[in-house]
Amino acid sequence: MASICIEHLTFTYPLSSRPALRDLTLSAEEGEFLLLCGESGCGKTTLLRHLKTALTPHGTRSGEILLDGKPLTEISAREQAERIGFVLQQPEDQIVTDKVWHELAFGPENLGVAPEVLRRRVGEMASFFGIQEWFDRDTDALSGGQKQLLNLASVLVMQPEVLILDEPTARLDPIAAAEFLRAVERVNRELGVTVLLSEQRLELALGMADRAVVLHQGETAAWGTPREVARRLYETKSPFFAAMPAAVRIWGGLGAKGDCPMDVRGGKALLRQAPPKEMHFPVAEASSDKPLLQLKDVWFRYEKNAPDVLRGMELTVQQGEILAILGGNGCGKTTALRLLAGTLRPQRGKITRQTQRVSMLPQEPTALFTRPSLRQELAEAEKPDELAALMELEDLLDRDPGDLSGGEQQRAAMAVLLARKPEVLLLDEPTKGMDAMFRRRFGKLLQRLAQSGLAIDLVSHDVEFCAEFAHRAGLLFDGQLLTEDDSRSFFTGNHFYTTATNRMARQWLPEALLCEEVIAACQNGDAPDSRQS
Amino acid sequence: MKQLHCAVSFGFFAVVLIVTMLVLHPAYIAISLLGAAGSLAALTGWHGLRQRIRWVLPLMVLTVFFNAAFQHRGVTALWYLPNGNAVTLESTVFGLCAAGMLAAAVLWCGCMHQVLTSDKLMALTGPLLPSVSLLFSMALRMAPRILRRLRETYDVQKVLDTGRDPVSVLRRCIRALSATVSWMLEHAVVTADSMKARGYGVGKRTHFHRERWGADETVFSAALLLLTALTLAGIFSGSGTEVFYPSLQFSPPTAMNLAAWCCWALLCTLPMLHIGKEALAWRRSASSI
Amino acid sequence: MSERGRTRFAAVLTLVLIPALVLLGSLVWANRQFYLVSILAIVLSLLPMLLRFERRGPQARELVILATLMALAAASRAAFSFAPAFKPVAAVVILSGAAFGCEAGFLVGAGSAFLSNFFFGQGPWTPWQMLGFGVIGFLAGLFFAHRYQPKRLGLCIFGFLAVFLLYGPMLDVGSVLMVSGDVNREVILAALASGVAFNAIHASATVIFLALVGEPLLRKLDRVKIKYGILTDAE
Repeated sequence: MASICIEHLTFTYPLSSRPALRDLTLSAEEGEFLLLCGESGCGKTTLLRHLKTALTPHGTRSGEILLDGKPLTEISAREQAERIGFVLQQPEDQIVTDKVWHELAFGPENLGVAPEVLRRRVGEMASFFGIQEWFDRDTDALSGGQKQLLNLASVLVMQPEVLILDEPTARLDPIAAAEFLRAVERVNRELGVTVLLSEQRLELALGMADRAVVLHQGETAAWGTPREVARRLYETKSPFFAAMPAAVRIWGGLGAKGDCPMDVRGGKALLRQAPPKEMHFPVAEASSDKPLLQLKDVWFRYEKNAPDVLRGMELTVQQGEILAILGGNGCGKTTALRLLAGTLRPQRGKITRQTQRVSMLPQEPTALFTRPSLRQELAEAEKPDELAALMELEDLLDRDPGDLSGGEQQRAAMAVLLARKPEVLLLDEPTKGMDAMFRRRFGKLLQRLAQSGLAIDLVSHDVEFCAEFAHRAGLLFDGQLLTEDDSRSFFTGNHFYTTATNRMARQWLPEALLCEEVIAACQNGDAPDSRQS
Repeated sequence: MKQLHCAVSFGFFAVVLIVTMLVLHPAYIAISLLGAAGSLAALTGWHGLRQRIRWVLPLMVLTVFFNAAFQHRGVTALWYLPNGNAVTLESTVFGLCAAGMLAAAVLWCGCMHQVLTSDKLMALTGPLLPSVSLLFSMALRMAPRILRRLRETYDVQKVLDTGRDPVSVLRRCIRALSATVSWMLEHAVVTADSMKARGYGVGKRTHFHRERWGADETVFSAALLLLTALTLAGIFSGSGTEVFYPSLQFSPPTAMNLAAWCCWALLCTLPMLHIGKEALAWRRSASSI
Repeated sequence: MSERGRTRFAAVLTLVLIPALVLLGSLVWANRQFYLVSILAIVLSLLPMLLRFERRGPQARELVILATLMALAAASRAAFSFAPAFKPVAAVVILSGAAFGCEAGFLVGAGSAFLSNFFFGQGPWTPWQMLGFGVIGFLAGLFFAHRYQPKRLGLCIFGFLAVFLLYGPMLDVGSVLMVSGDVNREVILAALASGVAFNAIHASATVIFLALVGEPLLRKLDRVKIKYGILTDAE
């Protein structure tokens, strides 16, 4: 196995005045699990891409990267392909071929591995990850989680010494993400492969890592063991502290005493030392309750002989309210949204519409962009400049929407939708791939829009986001909307489908959903009014 | 049949298709048509066969009509068209044979589609055309994804622009097409990175496939070679000679010719025989549990 | 198979095997000689292009872009399956050729015909479709690839002519060769006449798509070309 050393790395993209990486020095020892975190645009991806010459971006750079003490520039492309495995963010785009078995063989084929050897390696890797059951399938038929697992396996089949993963779970739902991270942990522990992982969601990853590095504007803001990093971020009052797992945030909120807990179990132990006082929290109220769209006993299936996706679903979308629909993969969330949007028609049941002005944000916002510049996309708006300002897009108006970054595209897509003055806004997994800071701003924006009278219906896996910002929430299961309620009763009534904070503090504060609430209760202050701000 | 090594099944279909398309003797055509229909039924069930026949029939009718109406050679006039040209027996018979040939070829292609799946085809072309094969594998992976994306984008545009007139529909189609293109070009870069990260282009590629050569393949290919040789010998010795114009002359069913036709018939039933053998083996092994 | 083995195989195939087969075929299969010759001619024209592509050792980005365009052409055929003859495939092929040159145009054309028949059913018509679209793509590369920004009018005229006078007739004649024993003027004319309506719809669809998406799409492809420096072999 091998170690990676980065020494005084500075890198500037062409046409950019500010370096993306500034005098970075860090290292990963042999067999170490190193976690890289930081908000979007902090340089994580740029840094990781430097660890493989074939992926290194163009620009000016200084400093050195050493693999086992040897400069990367002196290691041939072939050796790099063999020794350094790289998994990218997009599960779909990384898959090259049409069959699972062919995809597994693709890497070794490139290296010219003899077919007999290859057969064994592929078999081994498929068994290690439990892929043999879908070995024969088309890669297109796999779920997102399976696709990413396949990407991991088809990198590991080349038997790398270092594994680099660039936000591999950003596009996965929480359950698939957890499964994927466990697989990475297994690779690290059981095969001894050095792992460098960058992540947005730290709830699980932080506890797994041996060491963590926080990047901020291309510089190290903190590094060390996860506990040291947490303490350092707390002490420097870094805004990135907000992205830490709930247990860490509560620990910080309570004054960072003792060892920092990393998970729900640790958080519970922390709270047990000084249990919070009982406290009641306000239920979020919508600004109005005029129904705009209603599903009544709606049944839907995609093909004549296919099973029903929705089976007697009832749902009301009300003015001025944020409604969240949660549920596992393939439970029909997106289907429900498309029925509301009117692109699908139910086989049975009725949809009543009080308004025709419905807009939908698809999972991939790029589906909305059809014109060469954002300004043209917004041409139909009454006051395009105001809208652009609202979405923080002023500087991007003349860019091609396809060239924007993920978060910018999300904002641009929202602007395009709002330009049509919708009364109902349907959002499909809007927080996928957002970093903690932007996610929060986005939630606040939704609240402002709801206050101005928009009805917002979002389907999501993101429990924490829905708990914080939705007025009402429901669980879609078995084709029906179960237990639809105001979001506080909904989440506190659930045992698993609730925030990590609630799971930690339930024993003392059954109604608490957010870190701030628990912290306030511990300090016995007033309930924070986080929902109204 | 589906388990056979791709080279064997490819060899079989190549022989069957070439002979079918080149020998227009009614006996050969009839045998080929029956063999193709039987094999397709054995592979996909009656349902699959019915579906194919449903759209092959109009093609056949068209072929007969086309030959009868526009080919005026032949000496036996059946009746005269208003423009003075004759519909001849010879051109009608030719049309029937051509229609049978076309149907047989389409049905054989249907069987081939079932047996030589894309990955088997790639295994076959891989050694000769590695880059082209990879290109196809990649395109096969992307096509359903792009189709899905086209539909999704169209749906999104439908929410924004609800018009039902043809102009709106076309406008939405165009927008969906355009948005899909930008989307896939962006994503193509990631795929290329993923290829490079896994060492594409660092040296000579090897070619991995899952085909196995066993006893079955040896028996099947021996039978295939023998029957092909006999069939070709039969054809070259005149058992498949067909002359349509000016008057019909077909090789008669002499003993010699009958023997040659039997070889061709046996060749055409090879898939059915193999499928039957497998079904039998399965039943035996299932009953021995 | 090694590089040299492959080349030798192709040489043997094109120089010895195919002429021999044609000769033999015309002696034995007098009824089908036109058909035989045409099929062999198609193979003959496809193979050198494919082998040239192999020899060049295409880059990863090149492969991805070509595969994407092929898949797009095939998917767009499926997406418009509700409207017979009204298909954007030819437009996509023409734009590919115009953006990336003859070879790319040919590969995308021939490839997408082959690929889409994986979903629609292969048949005796596959080779003709491959050749037809391949030639259209090739010609588009020949006429437009060296220009920086081809004019919309030029693309549309080319698209109409290519489909109406080249692709459509080629397929019509192909089907005649398949089902008609001997080929005379009347038969060919009849086949062409019967295809006029269908080809006219196909050609107008191509023109509509080229007129409406041609320029923006070419701009996008050009951007990719410049951004990643791919497929800029001199035509």
